Amino acid sequence: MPQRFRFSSFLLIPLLSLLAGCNTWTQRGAKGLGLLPKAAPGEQHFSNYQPKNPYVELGQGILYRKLFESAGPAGLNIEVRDLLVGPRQQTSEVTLPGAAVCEMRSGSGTLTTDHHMQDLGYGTTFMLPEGSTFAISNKSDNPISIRVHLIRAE
Amino acid sequence: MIRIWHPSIVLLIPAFLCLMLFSACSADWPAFRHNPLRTGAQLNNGPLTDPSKVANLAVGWTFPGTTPPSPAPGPFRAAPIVYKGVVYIGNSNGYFYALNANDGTLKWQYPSGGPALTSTFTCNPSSEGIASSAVIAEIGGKDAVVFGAPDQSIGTHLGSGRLFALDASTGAEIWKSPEIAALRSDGVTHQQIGYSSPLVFNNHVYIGVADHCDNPIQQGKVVAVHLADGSIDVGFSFASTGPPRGGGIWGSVAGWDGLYVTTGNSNIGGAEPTPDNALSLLRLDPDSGAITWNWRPVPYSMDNDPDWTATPSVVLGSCGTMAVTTEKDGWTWAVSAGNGTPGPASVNLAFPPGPCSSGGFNPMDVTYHNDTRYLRPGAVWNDVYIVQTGGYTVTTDVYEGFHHLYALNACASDADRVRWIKDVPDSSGAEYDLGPPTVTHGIIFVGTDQGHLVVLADPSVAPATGWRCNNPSVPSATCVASGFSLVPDPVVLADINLNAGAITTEPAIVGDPVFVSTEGGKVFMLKP
Repeated sequence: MPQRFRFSSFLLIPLLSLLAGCNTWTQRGAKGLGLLPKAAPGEQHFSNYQPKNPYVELGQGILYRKLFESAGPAGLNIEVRDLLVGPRQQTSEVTLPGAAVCEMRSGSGTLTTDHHMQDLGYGTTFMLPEGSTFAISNKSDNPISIRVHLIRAE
Repeated sequence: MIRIWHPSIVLLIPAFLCLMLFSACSADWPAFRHNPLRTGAQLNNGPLTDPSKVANLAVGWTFPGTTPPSPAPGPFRAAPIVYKGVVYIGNSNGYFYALNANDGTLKWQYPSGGPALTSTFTCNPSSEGIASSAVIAEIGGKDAVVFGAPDQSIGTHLGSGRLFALDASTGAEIWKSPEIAALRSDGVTHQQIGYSSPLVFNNHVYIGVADHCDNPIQQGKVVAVHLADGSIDVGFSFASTGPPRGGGIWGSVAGWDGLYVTTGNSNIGGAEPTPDNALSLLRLDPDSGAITWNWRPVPYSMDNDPDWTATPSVVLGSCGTMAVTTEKDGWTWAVSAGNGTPGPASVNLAFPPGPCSSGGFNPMDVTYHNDTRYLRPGAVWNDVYIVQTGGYTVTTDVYEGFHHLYALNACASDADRVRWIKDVPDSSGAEYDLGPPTVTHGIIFVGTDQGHLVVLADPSVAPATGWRCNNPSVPSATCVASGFSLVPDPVVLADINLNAGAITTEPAIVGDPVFVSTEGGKVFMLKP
């Protein structure tokens, strides 16, 4: 049998199978599935899902949640928080209730404190003196999350 | 003249034929994750693709029935496969069962006499009896069923692992491979097949080898045996690492235009082995075992045991062919399959996204890569990958992802990555809370650690219950104002308490019925 014919017949079997009733196979890949419609602006029809430890607003564009709080030495109170800045968010100027040691857990952006600017990326650490104000700019499509250790007098 | 016999075509033809014969056009479920691509998808239409009928799912039969086999089955760690009206499944008691799919009666069991297929080393559920899900093959013109198991009749009689090929109709032995996973009493050598399910592909059977709970960790490898007679193909060789050891292969090998495999960790202290292809998603040459590409996001210095154990799935996506899987640390990755030419891996997808998308992690990024137990393979439905993964919260709370089943748009931008999120009801939210999901035309089946079979519908199939935030820690009401997006929360079509222990294995969707095995030692057939 000529090699080309052998090759053709080898391919013919699965091709005939496709035509004979395996049409679902052809739906894979090439056409994709498409994205689901997005929520309409102002959508309020929410499911009954509730986060177990939800973020709440700290200021415009910035959320926080408390993870842990304990009495520390020498009359100090220690609290661990997560801050969250969503994609494409410019936060308002906010203040934390104490001195803060901060560690970037995800995302990238810019921190502004007292007119001083600092780039933020994975693993960046920075400190915020008690009473200082700061703002964060997130120009990416990915959220910024920051682990904060707050220390204040009880 | 056009050169027709390009090497990639030569590889694709048997892969394609294999799919056509055993999966793509069959309403059966002839392999772990249904097919060599490990998609966990049933492509045929049937009653289980109709949301209104799925809501009426009920138990048709339970195995064991009124006359249980002796000894009674223990927990099922292997998933059922179904072919030509027969359910095949191994049990932790060391026996392999063939059940009539229409009534659950025992057709045959193996061994029919003599000792069970067990190991003298047991440390976790993977090492108790038969944990390897089986696969259907054709050997010498006969339908055969192939699985991996320990066998105390070989090696030093401790229960080394080997492959078995049985006549699918009678349970008669066709062949038994030589020792594949060696077990010795030297305190060092304790390999096992465990959960790895054989891949029938390229006229071979490929199986992964890991170990009995580390202590010490073993050298991971993929072994290829000839499909015809079970002899080891010495021309194929892949070991994850050089001395001292590491890179166990806990999952199953996937096959398409090459082999795709994930490897466990290698850092046991001391110097890094050379080579070190641990913690990797790899494409291998199916003839030689040579590495085509290797994606390793977690370097040796950050290896705190995030074994990559979830079996990879091959997505034939609208944006190209890719291998997709989730590492035990909760990060999901997709890597372009490429054309088979050796070179660097090209990452298609990282979830969650970020600067680690292409360069991998480094110690300065303070990400965690520990033994966090995102173990389950995902299901593939066109461009959609359905999986339990860490999600956006993995960088702040690596355990939070256990609560959520995600559908990811594999070919979309990062902004549109999350298709939907579901907190599967009647699951604990702890590690091991969900089994591997399976899918048929947008209907998703998943077992829970509380013994429920839950069926969900993609919102394109049945309306969702409402919207929720794509960051699960952000309340729905403040989601959009915070810069995040609302995504659908799929409807639950059925939630059936089987009341027979946790379901850690995949539901096998066979057109009309679906088959489920449980930790309580039961196999169920359910149908509308």
